Amino acid sequence: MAIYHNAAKRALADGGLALGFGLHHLRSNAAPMLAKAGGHDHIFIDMEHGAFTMQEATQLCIAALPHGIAPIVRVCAGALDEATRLLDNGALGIVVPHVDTAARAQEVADAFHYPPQGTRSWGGPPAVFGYIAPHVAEAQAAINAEILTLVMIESPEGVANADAIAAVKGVDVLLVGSFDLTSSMGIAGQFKHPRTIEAWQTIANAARRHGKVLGIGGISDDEDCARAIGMGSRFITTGNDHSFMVNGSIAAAKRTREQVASVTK
Amino acid sequence: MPLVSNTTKRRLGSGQMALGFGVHHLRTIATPVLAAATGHDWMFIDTEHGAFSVQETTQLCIAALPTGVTPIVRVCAGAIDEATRALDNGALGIVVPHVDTAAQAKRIADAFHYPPQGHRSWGGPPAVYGYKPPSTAEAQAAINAEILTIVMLESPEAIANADAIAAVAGVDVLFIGTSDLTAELGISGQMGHPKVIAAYQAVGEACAKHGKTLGMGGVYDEENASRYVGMGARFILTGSDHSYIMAGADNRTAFFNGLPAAPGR
Repeated sequence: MAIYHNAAKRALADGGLALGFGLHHLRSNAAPMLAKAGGHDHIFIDMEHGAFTMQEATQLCIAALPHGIAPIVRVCAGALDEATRLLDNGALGIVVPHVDTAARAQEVADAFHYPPQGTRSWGGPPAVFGYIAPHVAEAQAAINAEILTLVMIESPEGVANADAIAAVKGVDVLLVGSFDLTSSMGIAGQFKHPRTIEAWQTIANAARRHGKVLGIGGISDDEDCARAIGMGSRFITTGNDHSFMVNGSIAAAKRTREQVASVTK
Repeated sequence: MPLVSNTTKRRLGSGQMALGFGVHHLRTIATPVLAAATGHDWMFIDTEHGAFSVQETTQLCIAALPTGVTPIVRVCAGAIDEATRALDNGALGIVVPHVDTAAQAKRIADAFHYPPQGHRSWGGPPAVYGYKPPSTAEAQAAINAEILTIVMLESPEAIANADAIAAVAGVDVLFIGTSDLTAELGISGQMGHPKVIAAYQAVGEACAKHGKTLGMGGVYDEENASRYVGMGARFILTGSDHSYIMAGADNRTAFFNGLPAAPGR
């Protein structure tokens, strides 16, 4: 079988948007179907802040593949060993948070790619080939080319090193963690602050210079999103199961109260 | 979104064979991918003899839909309520065992089809539409036409009633439970016994007369399986995860134990 295509990577390579559906609460294999029904390209399984087990995360990855929805997982900053187990069991992209230096970005890129590009170990039935893989050398080269490696910049040090991080071969996306970035700058949550905008622009310039993709995460209001997209942000998580449910249920309850009030007054 | 196509029903409709991958042990979402990788058309989730919860069953059904492998569930003879829950959550076919009379077959067909054809209740997000259904009337008509209703004949009474059972509208496949049938006939396990051949002949003729499909279960040896396929069996279970694992593992231990250099055996 041919490798499952990484819809997010291909959309980004064409200069398009990759829209992600964040997962925090859901464990059902219906999740990728729901993401697709909502017009997304990938699911963003958050193991940094969500309580997913490895088994739960990889079941969602395997379920996403035949839908053409790219399974992308955020691991904890130090959990590169979890990242490669995810890649072994269906993930097509990994987000590593809190990458502050080019040396760390290089370690990440090395860990996720098979030799000669990196040092990833081969093992286990290859889910991304639907368990019918070609010769191991061919499979390793194809997987190296198909996965997405995303590093998060979310500290002043990371911003200062953005250009060097962007230069690392094998890093595809510079993803800005806007919440942690503004927190570490002493202006938590102030996404319209000039220093926030300046930091975003520095990272955007670094990405553009090295032909990498920019993602500005953590933001949700229209003005911030428009500014980020104007700066070139293309890897975008539209929200997650939590925000979709909370916002949807608030709107439904409000609408019902208004309907009742309009009938009973 | 369009309704997920029932590839097994399509194959049977054009007279082709449809091969089933039995599931007893596996709970991983990789199961339908494994079934596809090994050339199967449908997955037989056995809740008559397996210990699946409805949640486990339907997670496998939902995972199968985008792979093109048809999720088919066998329920216990009296568990028609579990069958409709499976259909509500991704199953595209149900196998009901121990159907002895046309009246029983009629009750089953009624339970699995929406009005006006039957009395199935509408509810829950429609997995078989990828959660984006058309109008309810259109969806109900399309689902009625897409599902497979499979009744198992596995007693002398059922074989005697084969013609009347085959005549029931909404029944698609008459599936011979050969193992239980031989037990009921007092010739347990004799898959090539003249009484079994006579049963395949009778049920095959009933199917041909009423435009239904003949199914074969419980026959795994090549001589008898060849005979019954020759007599028209098209809906065929090739084995189960249990039998595949046992055969594969036996084969490997036999190889190593058979090596001249193998010590201590």
